[in-house]
Amino acid sequence: MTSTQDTSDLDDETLLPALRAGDERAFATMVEATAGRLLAVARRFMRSDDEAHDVLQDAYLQAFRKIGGFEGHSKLTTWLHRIVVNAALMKLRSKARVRETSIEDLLPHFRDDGHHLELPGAWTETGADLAERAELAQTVRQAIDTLPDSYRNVILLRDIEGLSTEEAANVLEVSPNAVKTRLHRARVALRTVLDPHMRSAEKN
Amino acid sequence: MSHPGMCCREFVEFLSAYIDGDLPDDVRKDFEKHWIDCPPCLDYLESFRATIRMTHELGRCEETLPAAEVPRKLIDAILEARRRCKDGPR
Ligand SMILES: [Zn+2]
Repeated sequence: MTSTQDTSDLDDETLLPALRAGDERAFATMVEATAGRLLAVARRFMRSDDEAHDVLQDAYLQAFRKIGGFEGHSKLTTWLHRIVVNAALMKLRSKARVRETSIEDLLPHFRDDGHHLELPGAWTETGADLAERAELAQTVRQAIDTLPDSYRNVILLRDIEGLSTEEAANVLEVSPNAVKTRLHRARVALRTVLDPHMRSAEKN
Repeated sequence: MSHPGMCCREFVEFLSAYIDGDLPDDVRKDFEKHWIDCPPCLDYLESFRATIRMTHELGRCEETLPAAEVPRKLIDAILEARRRCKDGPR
C-alpha cells in the first residue's frame, strides 16, 4: 500500500492532542496521510531519491520530537512542510561545499565602459503558459538544478516555495541582504542557462 | 549609444531590486531612462522577467502535482525509527 491520500482531510483537532500525548496510532495516521505530499517536497530539494527518503525520515522524527511545541497556529500540514524544507536544507548544507561550482561563468560580462560584452538577444518565450507545457517546465527545472547549491536553494525558497526575504534569511541563516544579493545572482545565472532554450519557440 | 546616469553593468545589477520594488526613486528613474536608449538592456529586462515568471509558474505547478508514491518500506522505516526514538514529544 502506498500513501497517496490528499492531506487536506487531516483532522488537526482530533489528531493533535493524540500526537502530543505520544500516541503511536496518531503518528502513523499522520505519516500515512502526509508522506506523499511531503516526499514530493523533499524531492524538489534533493537530487536523488535516497536523499529525499532520508530527509523525509529526519523530518518526521523532528516532528515527533517537536510536536509539543507546535501551537497549532498554522495547519499541521503547513508545519510539517516547513520541517521538511529545513531538513532538506540541513542535508544539503552537510554535504555541499565540496562540489560547489563557481557561478562566475554564468554571470554576464561587460566591457570596461560598462556595456554588454555580448549583446543579449530577445526571447520568444515568455513562460506565461508554462503550466500547460510539461516540456518547458522540465527545461526550467533542469536549469535550476544546474546551479550551485547555495544559489539553487535561494531560488527554490524565494521563487519556487514563495518564502519572503526574511523567512528565507532565517531558514538559510544569513542576513536578508545576503538573500537579496544571492537571489539576484541566482536569477541572472538561471537566465544565462535558459537563454539558448528560449530564443526560438520551436527548438528545444 | 550613450547612457547618462547608468551603464549596462549597473542596469543588470539593479534588475532584481527594480522588479522587487527596492530601488530609491532617483535610481529607478535612471534605470527606466536607460532601457529607452538601450534595446539590448530592454531585451535583457524582459528575459529576466520571463525567468522569474517561469520559476513562479514552476512552483505553482509543482505544488499541485499529485502526491508522490511512497514505498511501503519507507513508511515502515519511519514508523520503526519513531518507535526506537527515546525522546518523545516535548
Ligand atoms: Zn544597456
